[in-house]
Amino acid sequence: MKPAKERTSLWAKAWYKFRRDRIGMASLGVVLVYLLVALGVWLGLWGQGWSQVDGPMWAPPGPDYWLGTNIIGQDIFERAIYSTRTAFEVGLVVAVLSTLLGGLLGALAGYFSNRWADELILWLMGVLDAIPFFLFVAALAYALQGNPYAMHIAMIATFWTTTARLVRGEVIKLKNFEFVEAARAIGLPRRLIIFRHILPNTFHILLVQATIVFVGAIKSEVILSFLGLGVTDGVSWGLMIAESTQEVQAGHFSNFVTASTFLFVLVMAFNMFSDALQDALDPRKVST
Amino acid sequence: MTRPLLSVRDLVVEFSTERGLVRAIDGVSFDLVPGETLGLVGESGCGKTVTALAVLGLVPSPPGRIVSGSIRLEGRELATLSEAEYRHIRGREISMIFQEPMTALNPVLSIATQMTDVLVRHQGMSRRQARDRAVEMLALVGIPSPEKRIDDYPHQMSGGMRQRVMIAMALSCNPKLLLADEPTTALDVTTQAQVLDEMVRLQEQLGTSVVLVTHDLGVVAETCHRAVVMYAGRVVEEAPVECLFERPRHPYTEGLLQSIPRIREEKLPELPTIPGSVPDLLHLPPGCRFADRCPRADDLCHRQEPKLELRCDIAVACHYPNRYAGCLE
Repeated sequence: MKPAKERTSLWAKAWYKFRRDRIGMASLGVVLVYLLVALGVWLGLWGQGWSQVDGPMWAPPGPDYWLGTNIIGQDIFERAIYSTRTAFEVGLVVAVLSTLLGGLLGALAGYFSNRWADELILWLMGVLDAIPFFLFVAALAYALQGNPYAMHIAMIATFWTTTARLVRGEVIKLKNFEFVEAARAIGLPRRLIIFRHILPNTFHILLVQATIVFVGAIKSEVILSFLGLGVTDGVSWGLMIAESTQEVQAGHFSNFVTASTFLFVLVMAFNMFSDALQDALDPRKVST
Repeated sequence: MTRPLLSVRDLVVEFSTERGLVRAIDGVSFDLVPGETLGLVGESGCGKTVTALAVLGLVPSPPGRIVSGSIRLEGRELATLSEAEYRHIRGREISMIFQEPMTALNPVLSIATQMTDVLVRHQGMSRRQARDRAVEMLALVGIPSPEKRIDDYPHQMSGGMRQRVMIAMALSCNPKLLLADEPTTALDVTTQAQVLDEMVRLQEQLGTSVVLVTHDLGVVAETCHRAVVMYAGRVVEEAPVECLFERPRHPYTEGLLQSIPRIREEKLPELPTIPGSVPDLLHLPPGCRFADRCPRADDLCHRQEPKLELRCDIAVACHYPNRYAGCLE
């Protein structure tokens, strides 16, 4: 319906600004490399030997085992590579679903502020925020015993509240704008006003919030896995760090350093990427 | 007189505030005949905008509420309609354009999307048809190369253009009635004149009736056939425009007209103003609401509120209106 040229102009400007941000571009590059690694694991190109026990215990780094082996002789590099997939899986699932949920409930709460729907949603957010995160996950993991998605569910259930609060505030501001009044004046139903006219105006918040949640989810996954509440099928950086606690005492640091470095670089790059994205998407700067 | 298109009778709108119940509009009545442009004039806070919103059923509720009175469009009562029924009237039979073109268009949707939404919804057109119609409307309000500009986003347009888009959007479903709430206040003077000309031209071409809400008497003189002057939630004078400007009856109208800056024959030490300020709607005087500021006010005015009296097409609410020889102008 719309010519591509006009449609992209808004995003083209954001992209133009983003491209000039060197740190942003560098961090995007790093994130893309990680993404490629994760995709490769998904497609079965590499990282498939993560569970094979074929090497000697604690082999030093070398041509056979690039980063050495762990306590039971598994290839640390293979495991770190495979964990990238785990990290992306958790990050994406949690980021997308919690942003959707947060955007939806936040928009409803904001539009119906000070009515019962808003009170209910605020109450729910208050309750969820009041429960300590790790206790909540532990309880949920216990309740959903055996379900590999217990961790995901717990994260989504807690992470959406921040997004919802941000969106709610923005919607309360937006709903008093004249374009909403104008939408009412041309007889649009409430559903269209909320989801077509108001919610798209919060996309810059949703996008940045999704990247923040993505990082938060990866970090939480590591902590949860370390505590034994996280990944149950497969391997993750958190599980690797958990294993390494015995190894570090024996003077073998490869497992610990590898997992930490993989995690640190991705989290750092993603944080810088989301900062740059925030700057590039700032509507006041884009529309000039 | 022809049958009125819009007939507002004894409309009362109240707002509940922290300090108490405020009557923003207290017994406003007026009629609008088809094809006519009616100006709704008054100071800020006198109830002009609330009147317009009430006609569209958009009085913010809570805190606002239509307490009593009737609003009839072609004889059909609107004040008691449900929200769902009202939605079919908004945009199709009654449209509104707003004061601030900068914020009245959604910044994240293209003009095409916003215009076709209305047409698809109210006229049951396909997207394709709606787009053609939207282009046609944009051309009608004088937007150059409308096929191209329709894909613009609001921020790519100037204030005057956006207001034209708003007008095009408001008129795209051929409404019988257009409510214009200070449509030119936010524009610079040159653009104001262009947009007003455009509105007058379209109004004549399409035969839409217009209620123009404004505090700018110049705009009223230029575009309206009749004008209703409001003060503190009440109508104080209603008259054909020429009449109102040449022979104002109510002292408030007279004061308003005198306080317009213009080129005069004699040199004035300062611009005449109306002394005092609008009474607090929570603590209204028992008599005439204008009495405290009126040079003519006496005991009667402070005691008893004057009724709006209609005499040959001119209605005044004053105990001591200006009188002129001859009734019809």
